Amino acid sequence: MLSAQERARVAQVWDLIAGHEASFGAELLLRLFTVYPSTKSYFKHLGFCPDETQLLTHGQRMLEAVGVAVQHMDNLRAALSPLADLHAQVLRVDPSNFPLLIQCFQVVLASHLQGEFTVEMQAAWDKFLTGVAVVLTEKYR
Amino acid sequence: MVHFSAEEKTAITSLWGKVNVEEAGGEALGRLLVVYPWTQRFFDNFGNLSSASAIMGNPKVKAHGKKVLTSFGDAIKNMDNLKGAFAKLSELHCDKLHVDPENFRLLGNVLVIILASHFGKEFTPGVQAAWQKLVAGVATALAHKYH
Repeated sequence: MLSAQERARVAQVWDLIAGHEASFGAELLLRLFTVYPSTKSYFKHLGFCPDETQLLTHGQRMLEAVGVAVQHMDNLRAALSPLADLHAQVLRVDPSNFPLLIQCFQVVLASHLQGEFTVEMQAAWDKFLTGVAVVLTEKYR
Repeated sequence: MVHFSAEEKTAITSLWGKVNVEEAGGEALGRLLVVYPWTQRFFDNFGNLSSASAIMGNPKVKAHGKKVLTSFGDAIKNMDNLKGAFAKLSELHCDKLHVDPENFRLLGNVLVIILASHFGKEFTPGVQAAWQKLVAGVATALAHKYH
């Protein structure tokens, strides 16, 4: 799926995020909820106006899972199987929401990396995150 | 009809004032063609689109990107009537160009990402929300006359 060059670019960007999972994750969620308010329907437990602590906690969890995906780009299905089960049986997030999350992820990357966010990085990450979304929704039916 | 609050309009126009339309237009179209290669289907006569660097440096891509983004600037002057402002362009994209409206959404999203890279921290969640609303409104307006 991902070429060797694309994997290298995914890893290159991840190196810039690693260690900052909580703050990146929190910003990702804040952007998601601000730009696409309907996505909050999946986070009732965080309330209508999630506070910073809640965003950091949940954001960290999500970004750590992305980190797992980065470490296992050659075998996403096996590595993300428990998460795929969770999404299929418990969370049941409508698949149309994943592109919204991916858009916000790209915006977080672009706003932090700015000029360093090359077109090749954008292409590799878009393809990678789309692949992750496919795996997470694959067991839905 | 999409309605923009005074705050949203300010978020949009203040950023737009600082955008180099020629550069950003070329970058937006170039990134669309690289990240979503199937969009190249509309540009068979653009010459060399064989690699990311070929696409980003292609003079026809830059020229067309500038044209597209300049027209986007018209949207910003007509935020209260996007459908009216884009009626003719909508007919053109349907009747002559045969472009699937999904492509307008893809280009709008790429534009938002470029603005984020240019403006960094200034591109707050609130500013992003205003811009995503605008690009969605433009995409809808461009699809409005399809039949």
